Order: sequence, then structure tokens, then C-alpha cells
Amino acid sequence: MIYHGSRLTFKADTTPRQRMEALDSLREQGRTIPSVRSFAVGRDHSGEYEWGAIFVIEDLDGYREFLTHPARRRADRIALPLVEDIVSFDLTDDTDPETGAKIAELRRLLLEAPVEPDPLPDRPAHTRRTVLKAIAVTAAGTAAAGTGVAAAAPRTAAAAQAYAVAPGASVEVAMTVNGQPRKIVLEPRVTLLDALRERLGLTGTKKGCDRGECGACTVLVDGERVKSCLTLAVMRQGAEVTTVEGLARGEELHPVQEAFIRNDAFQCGACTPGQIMSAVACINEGHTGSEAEIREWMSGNLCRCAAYQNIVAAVADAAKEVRR
Amino acid sequence: MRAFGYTVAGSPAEAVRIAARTPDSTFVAGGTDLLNLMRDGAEAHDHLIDVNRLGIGEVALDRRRLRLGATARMRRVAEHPAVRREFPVLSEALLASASPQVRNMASIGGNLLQRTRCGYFRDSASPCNKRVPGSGCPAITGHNRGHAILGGGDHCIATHPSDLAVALTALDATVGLLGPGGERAVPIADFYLLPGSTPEQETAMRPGELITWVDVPRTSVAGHSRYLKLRDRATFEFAVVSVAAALRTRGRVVQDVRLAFGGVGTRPWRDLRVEAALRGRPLTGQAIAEAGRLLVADAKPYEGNRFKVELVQRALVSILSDLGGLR
Amino acid sequence: MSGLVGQGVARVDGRAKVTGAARYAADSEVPGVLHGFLVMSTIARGEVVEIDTSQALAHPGVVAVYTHRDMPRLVLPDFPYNRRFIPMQDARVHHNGQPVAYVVAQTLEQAQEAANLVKVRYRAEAPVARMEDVLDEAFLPDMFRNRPNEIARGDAAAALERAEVRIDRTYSSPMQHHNPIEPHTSTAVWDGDTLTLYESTQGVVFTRNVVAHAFGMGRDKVRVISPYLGGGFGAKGPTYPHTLLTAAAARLAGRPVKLVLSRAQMYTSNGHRAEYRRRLQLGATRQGVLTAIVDTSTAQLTRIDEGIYNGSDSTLHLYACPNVHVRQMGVRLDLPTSSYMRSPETTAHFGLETAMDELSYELGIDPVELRILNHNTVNPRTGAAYAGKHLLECYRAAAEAFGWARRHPRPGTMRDGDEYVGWGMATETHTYGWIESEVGLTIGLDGRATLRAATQEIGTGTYTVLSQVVADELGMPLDQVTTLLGDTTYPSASLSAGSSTMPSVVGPVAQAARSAREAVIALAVADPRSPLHGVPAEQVVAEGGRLFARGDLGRREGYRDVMARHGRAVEVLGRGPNTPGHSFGAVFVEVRIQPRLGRLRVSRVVTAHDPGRVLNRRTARGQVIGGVTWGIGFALMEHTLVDPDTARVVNPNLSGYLVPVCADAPPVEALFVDRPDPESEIALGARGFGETPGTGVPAAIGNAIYHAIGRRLRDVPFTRDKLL
Repeated sequence: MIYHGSRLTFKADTTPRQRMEALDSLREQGRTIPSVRSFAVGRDHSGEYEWGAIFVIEDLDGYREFLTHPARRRADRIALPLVEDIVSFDLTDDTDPETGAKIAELRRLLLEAPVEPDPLPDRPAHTRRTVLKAIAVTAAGTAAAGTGVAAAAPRTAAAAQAYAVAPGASVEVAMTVNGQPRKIVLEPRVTLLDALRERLGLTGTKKGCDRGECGACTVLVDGERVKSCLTLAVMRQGAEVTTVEGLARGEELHPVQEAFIRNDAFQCGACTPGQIMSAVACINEGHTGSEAEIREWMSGNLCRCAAYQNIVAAVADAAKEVRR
Repeated sequence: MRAFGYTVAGSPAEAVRIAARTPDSTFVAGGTDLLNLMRDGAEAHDHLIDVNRLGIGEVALDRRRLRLGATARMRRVAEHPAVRREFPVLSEALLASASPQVRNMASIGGNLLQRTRCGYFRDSASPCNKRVPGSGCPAITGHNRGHAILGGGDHCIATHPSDLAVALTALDATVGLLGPGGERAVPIADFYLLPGSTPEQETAMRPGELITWVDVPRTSVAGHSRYLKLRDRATFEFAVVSVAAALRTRGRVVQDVRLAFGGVGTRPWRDLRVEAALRGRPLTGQAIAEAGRLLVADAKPYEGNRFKVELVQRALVSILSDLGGLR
Repeated sequence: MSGLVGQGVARVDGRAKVTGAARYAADSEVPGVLHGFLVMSTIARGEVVEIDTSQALAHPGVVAVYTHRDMPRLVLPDFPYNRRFIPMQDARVHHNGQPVAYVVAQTLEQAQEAANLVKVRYRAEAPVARMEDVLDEAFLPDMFRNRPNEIARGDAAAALERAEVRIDRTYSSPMQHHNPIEPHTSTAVWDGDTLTLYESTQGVVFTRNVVAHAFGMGRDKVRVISPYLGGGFGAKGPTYPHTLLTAAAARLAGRPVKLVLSRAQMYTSNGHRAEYRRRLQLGATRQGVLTAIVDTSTAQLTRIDEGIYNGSDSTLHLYACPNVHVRQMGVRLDLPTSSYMRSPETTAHFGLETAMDELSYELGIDPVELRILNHNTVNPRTGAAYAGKHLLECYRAAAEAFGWARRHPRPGTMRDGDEYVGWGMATETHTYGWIESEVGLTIGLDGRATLRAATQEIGTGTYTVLSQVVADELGMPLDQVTTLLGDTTYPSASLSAGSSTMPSVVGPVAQAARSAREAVIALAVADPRSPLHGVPAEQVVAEGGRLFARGDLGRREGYRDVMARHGRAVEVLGRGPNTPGHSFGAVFVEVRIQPRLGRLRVSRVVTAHDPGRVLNRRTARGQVIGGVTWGIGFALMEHTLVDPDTARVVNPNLSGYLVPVCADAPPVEALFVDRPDPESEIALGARGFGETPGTGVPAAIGNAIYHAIGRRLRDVPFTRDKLL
């Protein structure tokens, strides 16, 4: 089975009526192209993009038919002038690694094909390439061919997917962030830090140096502290991420947060989210046996205001509380 | 960073196969150095091959050797009971590296392949023979406090920044490689190359090869080993000078000694003449001093790193005195 | 009065900061925002000949690439814009890392990569990068910000000639960078002809003024917002080119643009502490009385800027010496313009306080005694005796807590195992400023107070301390006070720099709160429905959010009751002048050194400070532990390296430019002489204080090193190689 999906970002100056027309043309594809087994077109609620469509197609032959069908050309003609950006992806549960390559090949051929001339002469001709900023081919199941999978078996199904993304393409990354399942479509070059801040709006995690030298971006990934500027979001498929926004339980602060306030362990606050995440991990790791040990194990987080003495006190203080 | 593609490989063989057919690709495990190299313009790749799901992350001890899987994380290796017991120098070198966060992320293979911290190498607007062959080496006349006094030349005097590599060099580790031409093992002494006139070529790895493991032979001397790292702030910094040492004595007489040095050489520095000068002799201040002088006999210091000639000898005295119970 | 002022009240913005809820400038959600990224020059001197933007423009998502050919013509603003040029107004390149093009794209990644793809061709001239190459060209610059660079009192040359004991030494300190954790950021949003900037700045008002000037707009057309600042340390005091360029780019693009400088770009975009050479000559009597001080310094200047940011203030006022000659010279280099960096006077003070230690050994007088002997009681600004200077008490308190009396003065005599132990001390002092400020205070219908002031929270505790002052003056619990800062729609208040916030703003805040209290009391006593009706206003006291009739506490009602009946908010303004001055203290440090490996650690620090009245013991202590650690960074590691040939910064990152980490910070015992200064009565007796702690630390460490191993170090940073 091949799943073909698109996310559309409409141009700001399009009217609701134009948008409806474009979406109707997408629905029409689903209804009229024989190889489409099922489809859905609608508003997306993840907040990442507004409109999306997904088409489920039986096999490669059906996929070829889908890509070249006149209904699809018609939809392109209507929709392309209206959109700013299309992010498109293909997913397959076919275990043959070649399938992914063939899908990509078909897509590439299609991209080169011009869309039929627009009936309005003053509009520039569009190809899908002009608006299709990103493609991804996800070949689910190729990992099964590998011998080492068992040793590195991830916990979730999403993480088990091995996949390939072409340069310039985007891919959907599924993560659990602060207990919530989140999906983000992004290029492989996007760091976990920028995914959190710029895509998910979680600006509690700070960017200080963007090169792993200050620690302000520290978050927990699967319970371990990492510098989120030094890892790509795409490498964290299926991971559980905790940021400073995810520590408190409602109104009740985490003991480390309480201890930071109690001990005045911050001034400007820019390093503080990273310090706190690092402190949570430091306590979990058991590196709070002495002040000297805390100092060493908290030294991956710079505090330019230099509230270090109070940070050490706060970590020691919170460690007592957490371990009680 | 330029836009790059990304593939998750499912097995070592698959990873190598993908690399062979994908131009301008490289492997990524932790990415902690690679991302900065790509940001700095010191490296550019069109495709990253994720090697985290190859099943090569185990740490295992058998009768003859310790095997570190290439994607084992620094923290796991540092905390591994067998490593701490039988190879303390490895554990100490790892714990003296980077930050707790990076040690959770960075892999053993990536650690060995991290690139120099030379400021000129990391500034894409500066000349650098390592980055752009033939463009020149400003470090020789510029700022060279962090640079090598041993093994350099007119083309490059950059040091290798890995603490782990220094410790592995002392312990005669072997690096396991898998590439289009099959599997092979390279002794670490042959793994890192001197810059010569081709500083861009840092290791003996061939195009498309992947580190899959690092083996460390089990020896009695490894169990009595230490890592001394001297730097300009208390912690979280690269070495100004470091020494990995393993020592076995009978009475006062040195039965076996292994020494490697960081921060002073263009590669993790080992000089068998220094060890030979100590072996079979009583471990005395005099003997260590002589060995130290041998170490720096060919040193070529520059304006900013002249002090390392003295400092590395003192570091040698310090670590051997500690290990040999001279104090 | 509920007596909150002076207490170590926990930060009122603490919760926002520990939960990630505090929105810093780069955290603002601006719909439709585009991402900007700067292309920086790769030569230090010369001209842009050609810029090829075609590859960059072809990169997906790129909206525009602007160069000097596209930028609107801007007017060069005055201080606090502290460069004498605006980049991208012409083809001239004045330093490495100067903006030459501005990329705007849909995503950050696209903008960053497109910036790499902009190809710039230059006509380069050979730069001058090193002070030592041009020291013979040192000159005395013109007045800077109305301050002369040569100041003489008495006849220092003659006094030096006659002095019984003389010290003549040279000291140096390198270029240093502020490195706040939050990078500089600017988000510009145009709405017609009005501009809103979400800005990381220590001064929203100054930034507004500079931007309005540059664009030839009315100040009322520019709004600058900065509710939290992720550290500034002077780097965000002046307004810098990236802010002007972002506003221009957003106007050209017709969309909001957000720019965050990269860490490397911060090494050329926002000033730095200038490199210095200093010759200090001290003359004294055998008894230790200073008779002459000649302080001749040479700072790193640029080819077009002549600002001296590191004044020799302490040389002029700290000791009672009749003959003083200060000359602040400079040399021209092809580097970015320097600026203020936390406690700028440390640069000069390091020399003075080291020289004093050298003199103490020359004379065989204890360093503390020598300072007490030369203690100055005359305020140089007024010519009269200081009304509230308690420096002598600081020496005594800190020396006692440190155990100074047990010190054996001879170097190398204190050992602990294989470590040499050294004890050293220095005086601490810094100037604080006063900047005219106004604040607004509203008592709402709910009886709660809201303070508005266009000053900033930069980590020093402004939200907290001002809330304390309001609560105290109103007789209101702290949780009924809201303080709003960092927005130019509020009344114009102080720049958060030069230790001036508290001396400038506390007075107006207290004034406003008193006026508001009086206004509410007047409403109550005039209202027949109030239990306080008819009570003479001066007989009404406020406490715990309620008004009471003095002597008849049964007659009372809450602020809320008065306001609810009145039905209209009470709004008042507060203002009032103060004067600049100095704060003082003493710092004692212990170092432990293993000379074999050149290993040094600062193992213990005791300070005692006289900041006038302490407004909040916690936040004041925060400034002390922070300042001491900055002093350690200054003394032991901080050092920006510039390549001698290319004039490029070689270590523009936090692995090459070392700042202290947690393990470098020693325990600090912070003592305070907590007495109101009558000369700062309007600010409740508090003086400006933030930059005083740490000023003496580099000298104190150097002095301790001398005491430990008998080696006198005069060039910071004192790295391991100098201790071998």
C-alpha cells in the first residue's frame, strides 16, 4: 500500500472561496481516480499546517496512474496558483527497499512534467516544482532487512521506521513532547532545538550558542539530558522529549524549579531552563553526592550571570527532596 | 547548513552500501561534532546516513579484549563496570571529555573522528590547509596556544582533540572498519596520520568506510592506568596537555609502561622510545625526567605553545609519580 | 510600611523564569514573521566590489537578499549608537564581521544557508590588528561623552620625582567579550509608518530614540518591547547596527523580520572590552602615604571611533592623593568598536590595586593597612566629605571574616600538602550613574497596584525590587503589586547600565507610590461612605492593603473598597533627580597553586560591600557572587584572540573563549555594610551597586598569586603557563 499525502499552505491573499475550490479539486481526484482506494481531505488540527490530503493507493502501478491521471492535472491547475507551499510525502508499508526508490523516481518524473497551461494568459505557468518545496519518501519496513535491528530496537512503531529523505525534502517526525504526541514536518537539517522553538512554539528551551557550548538548550530525550542544538529532529523519530514547559504538574512546580526559586539560582533566566533540565538529570543520575560533584556535573551549563553558587545549593536542595 | 538528505540504515552492510552509491554522504551517530562542522563550513555533505540502528552499540568484554561498539555512547562506556575496573584510563578520559549532555549523545566512533578545534580550521573565511589544501596555515604565525609541538610541519600544526583517542593509543587499541572493500582492522597507531603535506587526510580510513568497533586488548597493565588532563578552566574544556598512562612495576622496577599524550601532537601522540627508556629500570624521578626529555627531543614549539615543552614533561612526572606511588 | 524593602524577597518573576513562561525577545510570536540572517565581511579593511546574490536567491524559501545598494539611507544616530558608521550604507568595510548583506527567508535554516551562498568580492587593504605594532602612534583622544581623557590634580610629575618610594610598572589586559547567554535579537514589525521592535536591549527608550533618529521618524512612531533580557553585561546597552538593519529589511520586505545573531557574529557586532596597556607610577612616603599617582593607559580604538569606555575613575577618587595625573590614550586598529562591558572600570582598577599591593611589599606595610592609610573621605564630585562612605568598615569586616590576621606576609610561606596557599585582597569600587526617569503607577478598581516603567529587567532583580518599593510605600502585600517593564509605551525610565537603574528609578517609584497612597487616602477621607470619612489625611496609615485611622484602628477599609466606590482608577506619575556616585567594598581571596603543573584554583572569597541601603539582600548577593565570578574569568581565562594578519577573531565561540563554569566558581561569603546613604536619599538611601563587586577580584587574585609563589603577574589572563 502506498500513502500519498500533501499539506498545503495557501497564499495569504487567497479567499475562502478559492480555497474551497482547490480542496474540492483534491476531493475530486479521490473520487474519480480508480486506483485510489480511500482518501481524506480536510483541515489539519496539529497547528503545523492548515490543509491536508491523503490518498491510499494499492500498488506502484496504481501510484503511476494516480500521478498521471487527468483529474490530478486538473487539481494542480486549480490549486497550484493558490498555494505558497506544498509539502508532500509518500509512505509505503512495502518491505522491498526498491519500492521507495521507485516511488521517488516516479515523483521526480512527474515534477518535471509541466502543468497544462493556465487558461488565464496573464498568470505565470506553474509546475509542481515551483511550489513543491519538499518531498519525502518513507519506505517503512526497510529496517527489517537489517541484522542489527534487534539490538537497537526502539520502543515505538514510529521509531522503528527506517526511511530515506531526499536533499531538500521534508519529512514528518513524530515525537512525544511533554507527554503530548506531536508531528512536525521538517527538513532533516532542522535541529531538535529549532523544531521545539520555531515549529512547536516551545520557546522555554533557549538558544544560547547553537553549538553545544553553553547548555541553554538542554532537554531530556528519553530521560537523558542532551543538547538539543546538537541533534537533528529527524534523528529523534519516536523519542520522548521533555522541556522546561513539561516539568510542572499543573500549578505545582517540580522540586527542582521550586529549589531554583528558593535558592535564587538564576538572574537573567536565559540559561535557567537548561540548568533546570540538566539538574533534573543530574539528580536522576545520582551525581549530587557532594558540592564538588554537583559543580563538575553541572558544568555543561554556563551561567553568565554566574549564579553558580546558588545553582549548586538548589541542586543539592532539590536532590534531597526528589530522593525523599 | 546546506539542505541534505537523510537515510536511516538498517545494518552496517546497508549503511556502507548506501554510502557507496550516494555521493557526498557521510555517517552520523551522535552528530555532536558533525553539526558544528557543517555549520562552520568546515564540512559539507549532501546526505547523512544515520548509523544508530545498526546494532553496533554494544560494549562487551571477552577473554582477550574489550570491544566497544562504534555507536556506544561515551557515557555508557565511561560507566561500564568492566571499563572502570580493567581500563580506568578509558573511563577517566571519557569523563574528562565534553559535558554530561554531550557524553549522553556522542558515540565512540564519532569521538575518534572529531576534527581539530583549531580556530582557523573552524573559520571558513580563514586559510587552512586541512580545510582547503594549499591555502596556508595561519596558526604557524598566528594564535597557536592550542597547537602541536610534535608531529607538525609547514602545512599544519593542529592537534587532535579526542581524549579517548589518547587513552586508546596508550592501550594499543584496534579500529574495526567496514567499507565497500569489506572488513578490516587498523591498529590505532596506524589509524591517525601525520599531516605531512596532506593535512586534509587525517586517518587511514578509505572513502565510504564506517567504524564498526574499537577493540582494546586485555592486559594487566591497563588495569593500573590513569588519565591526566590539564586545561585552562576547571572542566568542560579541551586539553592544553594530557597524558594517558598505564604502568606495571615489580618492586620499583618498571615491567610495562604505556604512554600517550594529548594536546601536544598533531595526532594522539605515542613515542615508543619514551616507554623503552623507562622499561626495565627503577621508576625514579631521574628516569622519568630522562624519558620526558626524550619525548620532547624533536619538539618544535611556536610562540604561543612554547610552555608545552615543559608542561608535558611535568605532566609525565606527575602521572607516573602517582601511578608508581612515588608520592 | 510593611518593611519589605531590605528583605531577601524571592524574585517575583521567578516562576515565569523557571517554567519557561517568560517571553524573551526571540520568543515573541509574530504572525507571518520571516527569518533574517546577516552576511558578514571576511576582510578587516577595504571595500565591497561586487555581491553576487543569485545563488542565495535561488535557494528555496529565500525572499530577498539586501545589500548596501538596496538599503534605505539612514541618518547616523548619536550615542548610544556608538559606531561612527552604519553598515550597508556604502561599500566601505571597517572591520571583519561587519554586515555586508541581509538575507530574508521563510525559515531560519533557509536564511542561514542562503547567507553562505552570497558571494562577496572585496578590494582589501592590509589591516592593523595588533596594539604592539602601533604603540608608538598612541594619541590622546578628544573628549568622549563630555569626559576629558587627561585629568591632572596637583603636580604629579614633581611629586613623583620627590617621592621617597616609587613604583613604576606596566600592566595589560586583553580584549574580552560579554557573551550573554541570550544572543542579540531583533524582530521588526511595521504597520504603516509605525514600527514595533521586539528587542534584546538594556534600554528600550534609548533603542527607540536611536531607531527613530536613524529612520527620521517621530519617537512616537517607534515602540520597543523587551520584558525580559537574557543577559546584557553592556553588550545590549548601546544600540547596534543589526537593529537598524532588521528594521530596514522588514520595511523592504513588507513583512515582519526576526534576526538572531549567531554566537560568532556576537564577537564583532556588539562591542567588547578593549585591550589595554597601562603604566602606573606611584609615589609614597616611607610611612606609606601616597604622594603621586601617574596613570597612563593605552586603549584599543578603531580608525574612526575614539570612545574610551574604561575610565581610570578609581585612580582619581579612591585614595587621598594630592598629585594625580591620568592620561587615557589610544591607538587605531582595524577592529570593531569597543564598548562598555560589565564593570568597565575593572580594567584600570586592576592596575591600581596591583600596584598598591606592590607598594605594600616595597614598604613592608600590610596591604589593608596601606589602603586604610590612604583612605579618601572627600567626595570629588561635591568637594565635601562623603556623607555615607563606609569603606573602612568593609575592610575590617571582610578581613575579620577571612581571617586575614593569620596571614604571614612573606610569599611562599603558606603550604598545604603540595599546594601553595596565597591570600590577597583589593578594594572594590565602581561609579554608578543617574538617568532621568519617570514611572507611572495605577491603583485599579480592584485595589491592586500596577507600576509601569520603561526600564528593564536584566537579571538584577528590577521587577522584584521595584515591586517591594511599591508594596512598602503603599502598605500593600507584594502579591497585589504588578510591575510592568521593558516597553516604550510606559513612562521613560533608566537604561539598565552603569549601575544606574536603582539610583535612577527607585526614587520615582517611591514618589509615585506615595502620591498614589495619598490620593487614595484623600478619596477615602472625603467620602461619607468611608469608615475613614473625616479623619485627617495625615492620620491615615496604610498596612496590609488597608487604610487605618491612626489611634483608632477600628476605622479602616481596604484599598479595594475605596477604589470600587470611587469607580475610577487612580493614576500618578513619579519622578525625581538623584546624582551619580560610587559604591565601595573590599574583597579577600585565597588561591591554591600547584606550580609544578601550573594549576590554580580560587578556593575562598570573602567580600564586604557598602552599597548604601541594601534593597534586597538576595538580589544584592546575586550581584556579588556574579561579579566575583566575572573577576575570576577576567583574571584567569577570558581572552578574545585576533589573528595578527587578517584581524579576524580566532575564537568566536564558547569553547575557544572560556568563561567560568560551575566548577570554577568558589564559595563566596558576601557581607554588607547596610546603611542608607543620605546623598541618595531619594532612592531610599540605596546607591547603584551592580558593577562594584568583582572590580577588585583580578588584582586580588594576582596579589594572592604573588603571596603564594612570589611571582608578580601583571598581564591577565593568568594562565597556567605563567604559573609554571
